[in-house]
Amino acid sequence: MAINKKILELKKRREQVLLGGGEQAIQKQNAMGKLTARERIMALLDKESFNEYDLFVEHDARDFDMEKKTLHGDGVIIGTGTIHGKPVCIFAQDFTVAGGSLGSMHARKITKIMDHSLKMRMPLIGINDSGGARIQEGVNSLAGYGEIFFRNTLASGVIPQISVILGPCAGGAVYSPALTDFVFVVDKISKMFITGPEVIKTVLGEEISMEELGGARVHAEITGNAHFFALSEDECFQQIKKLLTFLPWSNTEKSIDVPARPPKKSFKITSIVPEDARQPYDVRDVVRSIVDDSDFLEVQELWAANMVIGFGKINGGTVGFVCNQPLVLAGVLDVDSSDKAARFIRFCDAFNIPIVTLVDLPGYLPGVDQEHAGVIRHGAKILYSYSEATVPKITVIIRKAYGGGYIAMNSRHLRADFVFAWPSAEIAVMGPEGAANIIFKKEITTAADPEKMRKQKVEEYKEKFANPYVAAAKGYIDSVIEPAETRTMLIHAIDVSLRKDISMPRKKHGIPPF
Amino acid sequence: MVTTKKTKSGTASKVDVKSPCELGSIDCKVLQIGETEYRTTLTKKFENRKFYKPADPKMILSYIPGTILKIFVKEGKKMEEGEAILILEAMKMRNIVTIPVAGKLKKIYVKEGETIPKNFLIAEVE
Repeated sequence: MAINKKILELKKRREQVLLGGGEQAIQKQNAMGKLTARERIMALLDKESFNEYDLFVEHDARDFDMEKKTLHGDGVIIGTGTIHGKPVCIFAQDFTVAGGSLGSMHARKITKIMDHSLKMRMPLIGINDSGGARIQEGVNSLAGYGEIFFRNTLASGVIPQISVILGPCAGGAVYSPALTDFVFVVDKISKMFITGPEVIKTVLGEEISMEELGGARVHAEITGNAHFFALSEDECFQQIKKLLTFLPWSNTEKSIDVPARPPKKSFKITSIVPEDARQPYDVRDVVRSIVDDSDFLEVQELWAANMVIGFGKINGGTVGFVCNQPLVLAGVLDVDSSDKAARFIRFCDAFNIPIVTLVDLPGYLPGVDQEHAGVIRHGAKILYSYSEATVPKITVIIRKAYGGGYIAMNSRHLRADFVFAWPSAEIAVMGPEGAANIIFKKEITTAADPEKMRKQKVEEYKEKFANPYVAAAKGYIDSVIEPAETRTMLIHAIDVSLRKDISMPRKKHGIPPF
Repeated sequence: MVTTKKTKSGTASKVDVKSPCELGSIDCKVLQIGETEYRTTLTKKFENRKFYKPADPKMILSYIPGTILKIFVKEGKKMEEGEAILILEAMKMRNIVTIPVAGKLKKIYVKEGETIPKNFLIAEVE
């Protein structure tokens, strides 16, 4: 009997806490078009798989009459559950409890689940919806943030870390997502900034709305802080689940292998690339004609679109794609596209994901703005990440591979394991026009008809050097292949690389050009 | 139609050009890299990029957004290089804006109490 009474009491206590900030606050949250923290967890995890920890945690603030207040769960829900039947750790800030503000116990719950995910080697998913530091808790609140950032860094490259921004995430709070691997944002719901519109207005006199300053679109298109953009919370959860089909659960595992499926018949690889090297095409169509089921999950689709990165399966195993996109800015390398590719390469390398690089670029984007924005430092990141990566590295040169761009895009010289080239490949020190103008300057300027001579020399150069065979003769590429052979060759290359084992010089860590 | 914008460095780069493209529905433009003209699409960031202008020491711009706290001099005053013109308060700091070259202060474009953005023309030296 006695135990039954105690069970009843437990149930009663649970019921109270499960409501978070109470009915009114929940209604307010829903009215903003947002789900509650609990609804979000349920929507994301497998049905009935959630196990909550620290349900009865209370805040420990003692100043400003805070001791009289009850904050259920201290504004954050933590626990474990499964996605695709595999365990994940999750926390969700509860905006209905004191605006999801972060106090010391709130932070301690988050760090508890972070420690758990690192120790048990499973992905961490953090749902952010918080007004920021709990001012009444002063420096204890700052300490909490610091403890979170430290753990984000510790877990980086060990377990996949996913941040979901479903509300405000401002000030220091933004640095936890920034330290994680993938940031998901939802249109009109996500807001991220270091200093908000109010501060900017009073201090600097600049007026801007929250949406324009740090809305979902801003981070998906302009800053590159976000990796996935969705129109609704539901779409966002589907994207997270999709991403997880491509990721391993930790850096000592491989991604989930699924049954191999051929690409869809509608993607005809031989007819995608136009004959004229100056005409564009969508490199994603090439990817789709290679990967299983033509299913390609693009990462950072809206930012620096001249570089395409993302995941696909080849013969059931995950592959990371890094591709120049001739459709946007002719596929040039610039500050943003270098940053985008470099970070993705490092993610793949950390998590045992083979990298396939599709090359078609005219080189680096010229311009004072690029030079002054530090394109030297940023461009160097690509060289660094490719050179440092020890996962299988496979390159397919589709068309143009000129100059520094050729070297940067996982060339043999950066220790690519396999370099293939299509017959349309042009591997040369620079574009034919430029090269001919320099090499045959004398002939052109002294000719009776310089323009005719120039054209003739450009043709001559094209004929001799704008092909894959000069590089093939040196062994810089391993095979010249037909486009239709690409998938078969990639399967072969990945199979051969299964036991790849190379060692790098001993070091504490390198110093990448940040 | 091809329009050519000359950049300050003298290199011509072709932008904002509509021209036929083999990708049906997509509105392609021309981007010149080296000596080759590529058909491609441009990004917003690229189209909105600022062309480089060398700084003119006679045009005094605000290097930080803020509020004009006090103006020390009147228009038309002959000044030595480094003399104070005004105080620009920004980020709780009082920054003294000085004249970068010796000369007559031709015009002051701000008033005391005015809040100005970054790169706002404060004053002009003759």
